[in-house]
This record gives sequence, structure tokens and C-alpha cells, in this order.
Amino acid sequence: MSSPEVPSTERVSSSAPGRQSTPLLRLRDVSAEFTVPGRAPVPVLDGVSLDVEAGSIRAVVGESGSGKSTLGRVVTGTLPENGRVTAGEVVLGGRTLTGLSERQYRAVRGKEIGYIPQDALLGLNPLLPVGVQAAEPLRAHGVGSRAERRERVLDLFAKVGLRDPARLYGRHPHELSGGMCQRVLIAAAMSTRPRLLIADEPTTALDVTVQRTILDLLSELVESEDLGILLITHDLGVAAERADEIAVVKDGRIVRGGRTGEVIADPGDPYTEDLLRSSSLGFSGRQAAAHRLEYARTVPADSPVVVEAKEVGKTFTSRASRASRPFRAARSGPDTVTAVAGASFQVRRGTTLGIVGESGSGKTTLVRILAGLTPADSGTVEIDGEPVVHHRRGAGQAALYRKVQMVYQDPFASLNPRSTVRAILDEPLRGHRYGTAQERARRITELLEVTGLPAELADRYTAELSGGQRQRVAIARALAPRPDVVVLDEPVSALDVTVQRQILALLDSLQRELGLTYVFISHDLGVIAEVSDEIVVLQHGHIVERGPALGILTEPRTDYVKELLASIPGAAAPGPAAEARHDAAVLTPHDPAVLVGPGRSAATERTT
Amino acid sequence: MARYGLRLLYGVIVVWGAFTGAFFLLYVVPGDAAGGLTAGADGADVKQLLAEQRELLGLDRPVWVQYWDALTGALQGDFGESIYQRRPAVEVYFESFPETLKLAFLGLLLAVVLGVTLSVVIELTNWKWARELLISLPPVAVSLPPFLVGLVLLQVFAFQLHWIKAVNDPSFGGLLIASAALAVAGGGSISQLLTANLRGALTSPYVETARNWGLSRFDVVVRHALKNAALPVITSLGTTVGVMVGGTVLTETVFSRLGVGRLVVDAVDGRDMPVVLVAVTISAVIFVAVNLVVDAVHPLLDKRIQWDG
Repeated sequence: MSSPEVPSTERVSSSAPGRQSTPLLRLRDVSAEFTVPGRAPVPVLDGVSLDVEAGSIRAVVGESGSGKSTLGRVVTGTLPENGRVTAGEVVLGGRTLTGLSERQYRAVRGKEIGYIPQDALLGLNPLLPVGVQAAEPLRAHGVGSRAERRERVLDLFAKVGLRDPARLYGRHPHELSGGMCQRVLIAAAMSTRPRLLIADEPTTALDVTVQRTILDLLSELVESEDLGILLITHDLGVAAERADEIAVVKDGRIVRGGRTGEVIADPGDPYTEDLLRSSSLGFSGRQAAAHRLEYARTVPADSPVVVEAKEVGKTFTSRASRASRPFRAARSGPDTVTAVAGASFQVRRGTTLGIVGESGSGKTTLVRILAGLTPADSGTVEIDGEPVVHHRRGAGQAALYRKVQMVYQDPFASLNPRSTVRAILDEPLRGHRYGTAQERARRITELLEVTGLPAELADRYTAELSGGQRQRVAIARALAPRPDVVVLDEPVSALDVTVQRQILALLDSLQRELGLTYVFISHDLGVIAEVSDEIVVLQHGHIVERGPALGILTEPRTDYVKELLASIPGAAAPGPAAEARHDAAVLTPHDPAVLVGPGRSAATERTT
Repeated sequence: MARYGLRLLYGVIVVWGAFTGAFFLLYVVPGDAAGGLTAGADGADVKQLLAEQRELLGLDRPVWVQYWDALTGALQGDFGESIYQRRPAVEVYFESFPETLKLAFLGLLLAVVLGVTLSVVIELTNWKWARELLISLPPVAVSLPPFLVGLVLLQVFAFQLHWIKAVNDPSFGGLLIASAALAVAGGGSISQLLTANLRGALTSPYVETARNWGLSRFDVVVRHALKNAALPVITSLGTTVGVMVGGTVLTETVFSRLGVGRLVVDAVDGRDMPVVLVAVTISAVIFVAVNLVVDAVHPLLDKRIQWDG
């Protein structure tokens, strides 16, 4: 089944000289399918072959739906009820795993194969103390007495870099930060001294600076324990930085595999090239910002200030025990948390302000204040010279709400799955009393056109759309009442990297065509670098740096921003220049919807 | 704690509402206790007899005066005398109370045990047909009226097997079977809710983690999913207790057990206002108390929930 591009086994194993000849984990021509009642079985893996050597990291890279998670599940024997392996074999250290009964598999799972889940906060049982949970693998495999297990867990907690293990043992997951939870899960996985670790997107839900420390920990464990890790990730940057070998998966097939250096230097496959361009590999702040600067020159220097925030502050009173959450923003009193303090900035018409910060930095609070959704405790915000006043019921705010529109992070949560696209776009139009039914229908057609959505999508339910299409609908909804300012709260964080490119390209062309002003929030400095003219860096509710994008990206003044820059996965690794991939993103139509570039301005002009 | 104080206030309002509701409901229903006392009397002076009794019982006073009297009395713990037994209604009520408490408590316990066991067994069953069969049980159990279940149990255990006496069996066996009749519906509703919650909990990422630690299906379900799935069920126990209180009336009638249920039925029949008011008020107090306890227990089970939230 393997296509010519698939690396031969010889190539993979021969590239690890000096190690035992049989790899730790060996997958040979593995195919798997899901059955849906009343339909033909859907193949999810198609003749996949790969090895994981002891003492090395093998990354499996792919986008959602590529089958990369299924690959992990095939190894751990945890396919859902409707999934089954149809061909091939999985061998772990000389023992064939395919065909084992559930009972036999249980002896392998958690004993010889450790597992680290994606979302650390959700990956732990909310009702059990973390120490008890970390000891579960030992208990399940009947290792040691209760006291011995506790000893071992405390040792491991210290080993994975958790401070004060004894105190932590009885804590519940909600009292820990995401990074700490992930360390607990790593300790749990390591407790039975497995030889293989399956890490399914182990850092996706974490802040970049935390992501780096977790990946460091995994790399250390590979060295010290001679562990083999199967690292499943969507982020080629993470893979390039950490893995010894990479396998790129698309539609259930390995389209490119081999030593990391070779794959990066010579992708040799269009999809891998695509991923490479979309990644932060070889990220250079100068190049990203320089590219943006070309656009900025087209905006007149005396462009009026549209958004002005002066000394905006907001404090939340927290519950007593919440104060023990270590990762929350700085505490200004025993029971209060400062979400935002003394934030001042201006945004000129037609430009983009990028607000970057990690979780809990107060960036969402800040934009909610901008949009009049949360009252500020102190300071003022003006949009077009008019003060934003928070009204509980939104009375008298119709004009403001028309001028400022929001696009949210998760297009799956922000669009009602039981509404059609037309109904969703019609709602803001009716809300702002936009003309007759006929005029609204015409406007909806226009909106679909500008956002690059086919007209026939109008009568589909949003549940039927892909993530990228949904985010386009969300953008169209925001544009419906012809706003001046669009606030984008992590608009691409929930999307696959190649789709991210398309959405960023769309936002870019919309800004050029319609002269929009963006306030763009992201935890990802790589994304911020590409879209922003000015950047505000938030940490614990305080603005630590503020200024033109180029200055911040090339000459960061604070250690925090330096750390953020250094934490961009793969930034240090050699890779295609940021400029090259930016051009490619605008010019390569991955899906026809992306073509809303300057070439299509005829369609967009009518809407302005 | 302030929030808990507010809950307490709501509780007081609920009890007062139940008291008031019962009073006026009984008042607007045709007939009164005087009619009950003079039932069977004959002759030309029936009307006069009735009027005399009314005056004696104070039923001729305006309804608001009667209500105010009853309410102020109740607040001091004095609900007045039972009209038929000529003893304080509270005394009459608490005579039969222990019987009913035993019945309801055992019923609740059985309901929880049956419901939880059924839900866990459903999740642990591998055969598809057996699972489908088991899943269909809770909705059936909920829809069975307690008196029907009672009659069937009575038929089987009293008339066929002769394990218990058909009328007011004082043994533990009798109590157990009567409470089983009560437990079927409650257990069904617990199981319905718990099965749905378990299904949800079992798709959570932490269950996936536990499975990957090599835990057995039983451990995954019981150690990791069950507690999470049980939280909403514990909330619903407050309502289940209400169902139990209502169910005892029917169960006690079917099994001819002398308990509060029977007492209330007779009291309503005879318009014995004091007894009815005691029963309704105590039931409401129990209902409110159970719900307050459920609220108080919740944060102990789920550390994410705070007192003052």
C-alpha cells in the first residue's frame, strides 16, 4: 500500500547507528477504518509504516482529520467502538500488539506504554486529588503498597519539576495551572517506567513559555530514561525543534518521513511544503514586521485615531480559595485580582493593534471593555471620539455596537449550530434595522462574497461547515453592520495552520479593501507579528511593552518579550523565510475561497 | 454563607407556601369537618346540628380569622386538636411518623442502590442486546405507578409465596417489600439520570487518560466516571425525596400499613384540618431540609464549588 514517498524501514532504522537493530515500536502497513451504520467504512489509516527508536522522539505531524490521533490510538489499543485495524501489525519491543484481547492490552497500557493527553486541565479527573491520580497506573498494575506508591509519586513529582510534592499530592486539578497538570500527567505516565510514551498534542493547550518547559522536560526524559516518544502534533515547528524523526500524515497516509533535518531541508512533497510554510520555522520578527510595514506605508500618517484607551483598569474580586490558583494574574489584595491596570493606547484608522499575552494576562478583559461588554473600574475608552459607557442592558449603545464588532476564537462555539448561515448574517442586520428584507438579502449575498464563501452556503446549517468556513461566517457576521473597528479575539487559534493562513490572508485583504481598523488579540506572537502595525504586550494585566511592531520584534526591551520570542516553536530552527511563506499564503489558493486578494476587488468594492 | 442564609429564607417561604396552599385548598373543597362529624345523622334537626358543630369548631368564623389562628398556632408548634381523635394533631401525627420514616428511608436507600447498580451494570455490559434491554428498564420503572408495583409485589410475596402478611406486616420483610414498591420509580429516575451522565462522563478526556493508565473497565467506570456523573443525581435526590413522601401515601394504602400516608388520606377525607396541616408542614420541612443538606454536601464532593459562589 505504501506510496513511493514513504520512507523505507531501512532508511529510518539505518539512520540511527549504534542502537539495537530492532526498534522499540514498529508499525508495518497499518490500516484502520471507522464504520458508520448504513455507510461504507471510512478508511482513516492506509498502510502506515513507522518506527520509534528507544531514546528518540518520533513526531507524527498532520492537521485535524489526518488520522494522526488514530495512529496513537492504534498503538494504545483504544480505538473507539466503531473503529478497527484492518491490516498490518504493531510490534512493541518484540511483542505484537495487534490482535491482543482487551485484557491482555490492559497489561501493556500504562505499564509499557505511557500516555500524555492533549488538554492537561481536562485530562485529569476534577474530583480526585492529583497525587491519587498519578498513582493510578501503579495501582492498576498492582505495583507496590499504597505507601510505596505514594513514595514513588512524590519522587516523580520532584523529578518532573513540581515544587513541594507533599503539599501538591492532595491538591485537586483546578488548583493547579495547566503546566503543573501536564507535569502531573507526565509523572503518572512515567510511574511504571514505560519504554514508550505516546504524547498526543501534549502542549497545544498551554502557553508558549510553558509549552517550552514541558517539551524540555520530555527531551530530558528521553535522554535520562532512554525513552521512546511518539509525539503527535499539528505543529511542524514543535516537531522540527524536538523530534529526531518526522512523519507527515495526510488522509491516513505518511506523505513524507525521515530524519528531521532531511525533511525540513527537502520537503519533497507539496503538502509538507505547505505545512512548512505555515509553521513558525525560521520565524524572524524582522521579516514578518517588515512585510507588514509595506502595507503600513499605504495608510496616511495623519489617519485619525479611532480607538483610544486611557488608563483603563479592572479588578475582579476572587473567591477565597481561588487566590491559591498560582497562574492567575497578580493579586493586588487578599481577595482581588487585577485583570487590567493602567492600560493606555491608540489605534489609527486602517491599522491593526496586536495585543499579545498569555492566559490570564487580561487581554480578553481589555477587549471586552473596548467593546462595552464589561465596565471598566477606572479610565476611559473612546471610539471615534465618543466614550464607551457600559450599560447593563445595552441601552443607548446601538451606535457603539454597530461601530465595534467582535470575532471570537472558537467558531464552533460562537455560531449556533441550529441556525443557517443566512439566519446568522440576518440577525445583526435586523438588530441594527438595516433596510427591507430585500436589501438585507442583497447585503447577505455581498457578505458571503467578500468573505469568499460560495453563495449556496447561505442556506446550510453552520454545523455542516468546516472550521475555516465557520470563521469566515463569523467574520461576515462582524462585517454585516459595516463596523469601523473589528475586535478579533484569537480568531485563528482554533484552526489548522493551513486554514490559519487563509483566514489571515482574508483579514488582510478585507482591511485593505474596507479600510477596517483591527484590534487583534492572540497568545501567539508569531501571528501577532504578521498582522500588527503596533503591538501591546500584556503580562499579569500590565502593559510591559508597547510600540511599533518592528521595534518590539527586533529590539525587545523586556526579558518577558525576549522569552516570548524565544518560545516560538521552531523559531531557532532553519526554515523558509517568513516573507516567502507570507507571499505564498496570499498567492496559493488552498481552497478557492481564499481568492479575495486585490485581484478580486471588483466584488468587494460594491460593499464599501 | 450569606447565600446559604438566603437559601434558608427561601426554605421558610416554601414551608409557609405549602401550609397556606393546603389550608385554602382544603377550605375550598366542598364539605367540612362538621359535616364529617354529623355524617349519618338523620332527621329534621340535621341542619341545626351542623350549625352547632360549626360554631363549636370555629368553622363559622371568617376564613381569614381561621387562617390567622391556624398560622399563629402553627408557629408556636400548636396545630390544634384532631377533630376526630380529640388529641393534639401533632401527637396524632408523630405516632405514625416512625413507621413512615422507616418506609421512606428504606425506599430511598433501595432506590439509590438499585439505580446506581443498574447504571453501572449497563455500562459494564458488553453484549449489545443485554445492554439495550437494561437501558430500557429505567424508563419503564419510572412510568410504573407505585400502587401497581405494590399490588404486584403483594400478589407475589403475600398470596403466592406467603412470605409476608397481606395486611400490615410488622416484620422487616414486610417493610422491605413495601419499600421496594416505593423504590422502583425512584430508582428508575435515578438510573435514567445517572446513565445519561455516565455516558457523558465516559467520553471525557480524563476517562481517556484513566483508560490509558491500564485501568479496567470497572475501575474506569466506578473510580473515575461514577463520582462525576453522580453530582447531578445528588442534586436530584432532593426531588426524589418529594416523590417518596408522596409515594408513601399510596404504598401504605396498598399494604394496609398504618403510617402518615394513611393518616393523611383519612384526614383529608374527613376534612380534619389540623392533622392535614401538620402533615403538609412536616413534609415541606423535610423536603426543604433535604434540599439544604444536598446543597451543603455538594461542595464537599466537588472541591470546585464554593460556599459563597
